[in-house]
Amino acid sequence: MTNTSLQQRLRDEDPTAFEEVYKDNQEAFFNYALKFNLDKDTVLDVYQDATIALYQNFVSKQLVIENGTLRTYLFAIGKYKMYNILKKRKKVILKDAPEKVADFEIEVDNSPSEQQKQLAINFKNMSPSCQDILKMYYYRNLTIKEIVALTHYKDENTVKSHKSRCLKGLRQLINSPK
Amino acid sequence: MEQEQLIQHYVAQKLSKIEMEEVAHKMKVDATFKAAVDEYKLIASSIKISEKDKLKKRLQAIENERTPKKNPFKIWQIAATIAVLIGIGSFYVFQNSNNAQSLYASNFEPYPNTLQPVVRDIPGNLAFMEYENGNYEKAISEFQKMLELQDNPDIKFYLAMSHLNTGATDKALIILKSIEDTNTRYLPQTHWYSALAHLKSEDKKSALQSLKKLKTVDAMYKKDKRTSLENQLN
Repeated sequence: MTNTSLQQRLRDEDPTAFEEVYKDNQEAFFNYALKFNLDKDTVLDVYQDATIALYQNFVSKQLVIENGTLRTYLFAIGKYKMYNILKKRKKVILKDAPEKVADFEIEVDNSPSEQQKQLAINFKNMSPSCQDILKMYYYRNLTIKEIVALTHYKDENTVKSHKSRCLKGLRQLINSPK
Repeated sequence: MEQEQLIQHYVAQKLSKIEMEEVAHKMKVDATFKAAVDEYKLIASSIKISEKDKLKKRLQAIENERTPKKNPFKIWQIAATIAVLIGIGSFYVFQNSNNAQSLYASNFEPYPNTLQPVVRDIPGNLAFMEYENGNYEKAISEFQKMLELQDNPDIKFYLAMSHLNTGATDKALIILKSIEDTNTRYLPQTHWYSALAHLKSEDKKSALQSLKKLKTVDAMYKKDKRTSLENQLN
């Protein structure tokens, strides 16, 4: 039951749940990662990125893990990332390639495009209220109705018009020539 | 379902398999619809990147918050270095070595045990236990026993670390030198601690060379401390 409620907290974008997952699985992950023969700093970097990827899956896709534990999922993401590093360094032996990582449909981290990077910077510079509303809609994927329930906005139309105003600034950037 | 909500659910993969296929088909035949989906994806991915940066900074802060715990030990190290120097009673040595020694003291901290779980349940466990508890003399004899059984550069690294912690800098340097060309997972650490050991031996030139090697094998390892030390030595 504890695990279920932790998953719910992750889906609700609870930062303490994110930190809990990070701290509770770190030692075990480092033990698990030993066989990959990577230096400690690289393993730490991978572990941080894996925890973030897991958390963002909960937040954005409202992930529910039924088969397998949260740790299994987290380690599968980490394993995938470590194999990618080894592959880049050409150290991976093919017969050891991950066999079951795909069980969890792990997203491939494509490097962000220049447009995405620029847009991310632009987003960070927006007013807090714009960031909040766009984040609720585009990142947490909440419906307009859910946003009304969670915020002080009086109705759906207010949310919609505020969202459009905030989006306008970002849109201009998307449409501007590269 | 409104188009906007449909796109939102599609990108978040909240739709049923049939609905997903319907949207995919609509994207093929309706260019305006496809453009709207692409724009949605672009905005969503950018916000995700921005959030990822924030989360990464939070995790890095957690790691930084943990580091100060080592401070009492570091202070002890500095105190010990000074005590030993006064003990020697040679003011001349103290004056000349002050700069390199203080650079050593302010940069040195015992390297944590990150290897031990590999060798859990074999005699080596004791060596790492002694190492973690700061009983470096005992750790040295246990690591030596382990090395009689297997020639392992990672264990040699910890043997060198134990010597360094007992002040046997020369011994530490010989071992560190011997694993420079091996496949030890502690290669950046080997160069970093070699640099510090050279500092302790007042050999600034060799210290700089070790820092240079560190930069070549892993430019990110201790980057800030490395560059600051390089600047102070140059």
